[in-house]
Amino acid sequence: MAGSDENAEIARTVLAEVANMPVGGLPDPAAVTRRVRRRRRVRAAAIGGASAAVVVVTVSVAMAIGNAGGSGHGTNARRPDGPVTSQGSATPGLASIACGRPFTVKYLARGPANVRIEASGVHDAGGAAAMPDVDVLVSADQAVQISGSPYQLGIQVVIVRDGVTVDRIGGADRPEDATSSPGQYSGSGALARVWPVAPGSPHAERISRSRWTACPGVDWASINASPERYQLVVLMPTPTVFGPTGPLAGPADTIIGKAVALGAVPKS
Amino acid sequence: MADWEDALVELLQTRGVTLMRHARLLTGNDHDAEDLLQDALVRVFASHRRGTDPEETEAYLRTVMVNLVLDSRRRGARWLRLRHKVAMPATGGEGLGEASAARQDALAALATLSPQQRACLVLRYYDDLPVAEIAASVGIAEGTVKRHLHDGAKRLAALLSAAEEGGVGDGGQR
Repeated sequence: MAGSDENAEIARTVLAEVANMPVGGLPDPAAVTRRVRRRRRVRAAAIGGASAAVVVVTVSVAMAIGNAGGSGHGTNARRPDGPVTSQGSATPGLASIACGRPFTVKYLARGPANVRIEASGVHDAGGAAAMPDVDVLVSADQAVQISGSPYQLGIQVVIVRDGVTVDRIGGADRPEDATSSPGQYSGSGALARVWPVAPGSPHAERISRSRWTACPGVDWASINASPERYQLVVLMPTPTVFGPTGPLAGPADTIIGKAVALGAVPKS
Repeated sequence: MADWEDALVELLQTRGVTLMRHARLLTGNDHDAEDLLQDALVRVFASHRRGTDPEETEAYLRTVMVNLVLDSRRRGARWLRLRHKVAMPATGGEGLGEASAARQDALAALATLSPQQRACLVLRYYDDLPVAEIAASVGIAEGTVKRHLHDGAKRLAALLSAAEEGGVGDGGQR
């Protein structure tokens, strides 16, 4: 086995040589910290989301029964008088959601690998008269990687009443985790976003007010006073979904989304 | 700043270079090494099981790096397909400009090995772990570890011999 011993010695030498080469750069601690925070949030959301989902389903059924009696009127929430153009920041495919206009966006419930999106919570973001933040979960039936540019994975929440767009939350103008500038570091997440999603481990994201998409003159105090009269619709362009062997087949160039009564989304 | 954030920054400041070297041995190039180290850091520090002991954390981090490399193999070519979407394209001359030609050959040869071969070689001939411990750590049989060590070392020797005669080929096993 003299040959094996010699090869082993060569291997030791090679490894030592490679190890002693100058190190080009280290991961950016700030970027790693951001990723750790996101992952911790996902874990926390996954744990909380499981119990919240039961509440959502229960209340949604109740709402569906209630809505069968006809839509109500009487809220004081003022609808925008006319369309408001999203200022160059609209998510692809979602640009037609105009404030004060009929909400006509067609969307699918699921994308490749049954990837789906839903609102999991509504959070006070400045009092009863302020637009809230919305927690969103993107889940799938199998372990996948959901990939796309920040624009492609932009999530838009739309508040609808009687078929008319009342307000828009978030959008794709400045995704929360698209903070790396080209050249800042070369690790994962430098340009595009990749969401690892698996059963029981959804991607969680909090959608907040965007000055680019918010509709003007909306009275959130009235909306919050009668949330049952409004629908909350979560939308995103159908993403590219990668399974173990590559991209998964499914609908493309479409939108996935889910509508739920605003009052049925758990509040905190 | 949370405790884990302090620990993360301190680990990178004090052990970052060593960890990057280890990651480079496992991946065979600087670009993937940075990705690997970053992914491993995220996984370790996102885990609430992580202790506060720095040595314990580093040991766990090394284990996670090995597992991630081997897991990337198990997932086949997924990462190769995804990488262009999530990483900056490499620019010329990054980080290795002062490396000697011999080291470049060594790195090129190492990069042609399979992830399993690299992991076993690193753990055995760089970290000096016994075969039994490598087998337990990687989750494969001792006989498989020995085969990877034999095949990997043999291939490295052959590639370096070829490099001396004209350069490392690209007929790797990745």
